[in-house]
Amino acid sequence: MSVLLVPNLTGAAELDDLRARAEKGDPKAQLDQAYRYRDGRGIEKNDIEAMKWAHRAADGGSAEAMDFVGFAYLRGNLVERNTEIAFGYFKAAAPKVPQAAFNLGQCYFGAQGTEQNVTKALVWWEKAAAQGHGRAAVSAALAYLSGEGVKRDEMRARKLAERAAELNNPSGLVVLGEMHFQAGNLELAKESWRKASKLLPTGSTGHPAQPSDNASAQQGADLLKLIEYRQRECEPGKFAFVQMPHIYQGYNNCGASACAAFARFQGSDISGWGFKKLCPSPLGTGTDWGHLLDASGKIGQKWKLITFTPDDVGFEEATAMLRRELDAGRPVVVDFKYIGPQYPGGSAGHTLNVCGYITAENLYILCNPAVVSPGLQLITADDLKNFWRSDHYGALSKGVLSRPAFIIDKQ
Amino acid sequence: MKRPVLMAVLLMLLCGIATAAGQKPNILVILADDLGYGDVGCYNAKSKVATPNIDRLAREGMLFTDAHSPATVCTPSRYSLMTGQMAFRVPRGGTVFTGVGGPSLIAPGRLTLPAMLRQQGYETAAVGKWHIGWTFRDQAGEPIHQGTLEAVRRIDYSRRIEGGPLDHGFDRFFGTACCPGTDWLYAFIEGDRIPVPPVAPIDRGSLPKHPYANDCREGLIATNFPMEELDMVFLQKSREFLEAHVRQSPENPFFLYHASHAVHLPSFAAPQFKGKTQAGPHGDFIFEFDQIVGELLSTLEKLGVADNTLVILTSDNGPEVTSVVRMRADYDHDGARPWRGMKRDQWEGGHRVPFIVRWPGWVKTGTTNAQIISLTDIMATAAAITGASLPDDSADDSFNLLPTLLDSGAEVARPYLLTQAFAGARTLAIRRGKWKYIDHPGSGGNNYATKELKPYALPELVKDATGQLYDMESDPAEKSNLISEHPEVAWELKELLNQSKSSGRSRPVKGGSNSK
Repeated sequence: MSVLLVPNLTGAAELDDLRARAEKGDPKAQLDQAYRYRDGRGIEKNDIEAMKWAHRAADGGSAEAMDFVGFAYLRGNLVERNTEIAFGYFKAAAPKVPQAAFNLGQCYFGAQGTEQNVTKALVWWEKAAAQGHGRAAVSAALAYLSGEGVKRDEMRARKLAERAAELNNPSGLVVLGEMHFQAGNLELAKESWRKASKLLPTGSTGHPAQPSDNASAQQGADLLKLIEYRQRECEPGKFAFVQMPHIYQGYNNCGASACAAFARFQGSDISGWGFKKLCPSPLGTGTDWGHLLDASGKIGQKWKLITFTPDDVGFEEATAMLRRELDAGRPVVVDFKYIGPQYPGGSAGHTLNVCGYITAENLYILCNPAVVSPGLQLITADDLKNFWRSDHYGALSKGVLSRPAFIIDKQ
Repeated sequence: MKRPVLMAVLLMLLCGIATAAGQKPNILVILADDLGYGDVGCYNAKSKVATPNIDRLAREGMLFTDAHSPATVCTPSRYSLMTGQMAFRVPRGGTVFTGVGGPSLIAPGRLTLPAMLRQQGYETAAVGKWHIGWTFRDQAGEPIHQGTLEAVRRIDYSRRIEGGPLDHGFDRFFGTACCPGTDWLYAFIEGDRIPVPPVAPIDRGSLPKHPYANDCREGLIATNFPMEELDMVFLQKSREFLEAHVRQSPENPFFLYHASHAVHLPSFAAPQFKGKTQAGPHGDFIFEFDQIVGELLSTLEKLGVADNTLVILTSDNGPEVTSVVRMRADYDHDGARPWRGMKRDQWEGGHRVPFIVRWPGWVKTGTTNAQIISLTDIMATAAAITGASLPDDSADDSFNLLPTLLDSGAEVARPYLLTQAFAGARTLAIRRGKWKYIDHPGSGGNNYATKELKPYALPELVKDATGQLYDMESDPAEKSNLISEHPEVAWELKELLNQSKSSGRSRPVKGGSNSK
C-alpha cells in the first residue's frame, strides 16, 4: 500500500505517530486513521483502509467507530450500502454515543434496515437530544409537530426545538424561528434565523442537497431574506410565493414527502409515510414517479406529469410553466439530479417542490423535504437549470434526461 | 525504516525475484496430512513428540501462528492449494474422494500453481498423495467415478488416467490417487498410469493392529506397494527428482510438491521409526514425518540448492479425531492444542495449521508472524515471487504474502478469511480481524454426541442460534458464542460471506475493489 503524504496538511511526524499508535491498538488513533483515509486528510484517500481502521477500532470496543462503520453502510459511500448492517452497528453503539443514537432513530423513522417504528425513533432521538445532539432534538421536534406516526404534540415539539436551539444547532434555530414566525413574533423569528445564519459561513444562496449544519445556516439566511416576501401579495411576473405545508422527510422518502406536501396543499391530510404506503415499493426505498402519480389518483387528486427538454430551450419553457403555475397560486413538484463523487454511484436524485420566484433577483423558492421546516430555500435560476434534470425518476423516464414536473391537472 | 522495505516489495511485485545468480528461487512445498497445530514442537511446547527438523525449519525461517487450511478435509484443501480458489465455489467442492473418485475438481483450463510456475520456467513435480480427483476408465472406455472397491475392479490399467497432476501443470508425478493407506486402490501412479496394477486383496491381517490403524479399508494392492513404508518411497522419489533436476537442468528453478501420507491414519510408521517416541504409533508416525522433512532439507543442502530454495511446510487440515482423542488419553499429547475441534470441524482445531516458511536471505530467521493467512495464498505469493501475473479468472481467493514474508510487520491485504468445514458450501465460516463468524450451528463436521467426542462437547449457550460468533482474541478456544451480544458483527460478516459467495471471489479483480 502506498502512502502519499500531502504537505501542509498534517506533519509527517504527526502522521507517523498516529499510525504507530493505531497499530499499537489505540482505538482513538485507529478511528482517526479511518477518518483520514475516508476524507483524504494528510493521506491519500482510501476507502478500504478507512474501513479497515474503523473496524479495528470497533473491534476494540469503540462505539464511535461502530457508528462510523454503521454510517458507511447506511450511506454506501465506503462500502456497498447495506442498511441491515448499518442498523446493527447503530444499535450496538447507540447506548454510548449520541450520534449513533441519532442514526438509530433515523433507521427506525426511515425504515432503514428495520421495520419502521416512530415510537422507537423518538426514544432514541430524545435520548440523543438529552446528551446534547441538536439534530436529534430537531428531528424529534418535527415528528411531534407533524404527527407522523406519533400523536401530534406542539408543546413537546416546541421544547425539543428550544433544546436544539440551546445547543446552538442551526437547524434547531431554523425550526424555532419558524415557530416564532407562525406565532407572529417576527423579531424573535429574525433573531433565531440570524443566529443560525451566523453559526457557519453562508452565501447569497446555497445548494439544496443533503441536510447539514451548513445547509441549515444557509436556510436561516434564506428565511431572513424571505421574511418580507412571505408577507407580501404576489405580483405576477415579478414575484410569487405559494404558502404550502412542509413535511420533513425520513431517510430516502423525499418523493412521497414532497408529494404528500403537494397533496396537503390541495386539501388532503395525508402524511409523508402515508403517501409512501400508497406506493408498492417498501418503506425506506426510493419511489418511482409513476407510483407517486398513481397514488395521487388513489386519494382522489388529479396530477399531471409534464417534461421539458434538458437544454436551454427546455429550461425557458419549464420556467415559463413554473411562473404560470406559481402566479396562479399552485406549487409544482420537480425532480433534481445531483452529480458528484460524494454521491454513491456518482449521482443522486431528489424530489422537492417549487413554491415561488423572485424575478428581480433571478431566484426561485423551494419547499424542500430534506431540510427542516418550513423547508424554504432559495435557489438561483442557474442552479435550478443545472439541478432540475432527471433520467431516473422511474419507469416513465425511460432513461431519457428531461426536466420532469408534477402539476395540478386543471382539466 | 519501512520505506526501503516497501520500495523493495513494490519492485519485486513488478519484476518478481531473481537471485544474484539470476535464477528464480526453487520452491518446495511439503504438505503433511492431518498434522495438527499441537503435533509440532515449535507450535506446542507440551507436545510429546520430538520434531527437531520442523523446529529447525522454524528457527531458520518464519513461523505463522494464524495460518489456515482452506478446508477441514483433504480434497477441498488440496484443490484450494493448487488453484488459490476456495473449493466450495466449484461443483462438488465439498467432496472427499475415495478409491478412484473423480473427476478432477480442477476445471480444464483453470490456471494452477504448478501451471503458473511452469509458465515461469520451472520444472514441476508432485510426489505423494494427490486426492483432487482423476478419471479412470474401464475396458469399454467408460469413465469410472464411484469411490468403491467394485469400481477399482473395473479399471483398465492399459489406459491413461486423465485429469491428474500432469493435466494440471506438473511435469512429473509419482504418488497415489487418494489417501495412500486408506481406501481400495493401493497402487502407485507414475505420471498418468499405474505401471504395477493392484491384483490381490490387501492382507490387513499382516498389518499392525493398534488404535491408530483403523482407517485402512479392504481393497486391491499392488505388489510394489509397501503399506508401512509409503512415505519412505515418496521421500526416495522426491530425492530422485531433486537430484535429477540439479544434474540435468540446474539453470532452471524447480517446484516440488511433496504431499506425504503421514500423518493420516492408519499410522503405520516405517520399521526404523517404530518405538522411537513415547507417544505410541501415531507419535512414531509424526516423528517419521519430521525425519522425512529433515531428509528433504538435507537433500537440498547436499545438492547445494538450499540457499536458493523457498521451503513451505504446512498441513491440509487439523488432526484426526482418533489420534487426538486417544493420544490425549494415553500420552497426554494433544494434536489439536490449544484449539477447540479437530479435523472436519469448523472450530480452529479443524483448520488452524502449522505453516512455516524458510527462504534464506529473504525471510528473516527465527521470526513469528501473526497475520491471518491461508494455504490458498501460496499461489499469489508464488506469482509475486516469480513475476507471474494472475488473470482475473484465477486464484480467486489468493493473497500475496510476499510483503509479510519480507517484513513480518507488513500486512497481508486480505479483507477476510474463508474456511469450509466438512459439508462444503453448507458449512462456511468467515474471519475478519479478531471476529470469526461460523454460518452454521455446531461443529460443521464431527458429531459431538458420540461417546468418543461427548467429553469435548461444549454447551451452546445461545439457544436456537443459527450461527456462531467468536472473539478470537479474548476467546481463542471458541467457548463463548457472542452472536447475541454482537449481532451487528455477526450480520456484517454473514453479509460479507454472502457477498463473497455471490461475487465468486475474495481477491479483488484488477483495477477494482470488491468492497464497493
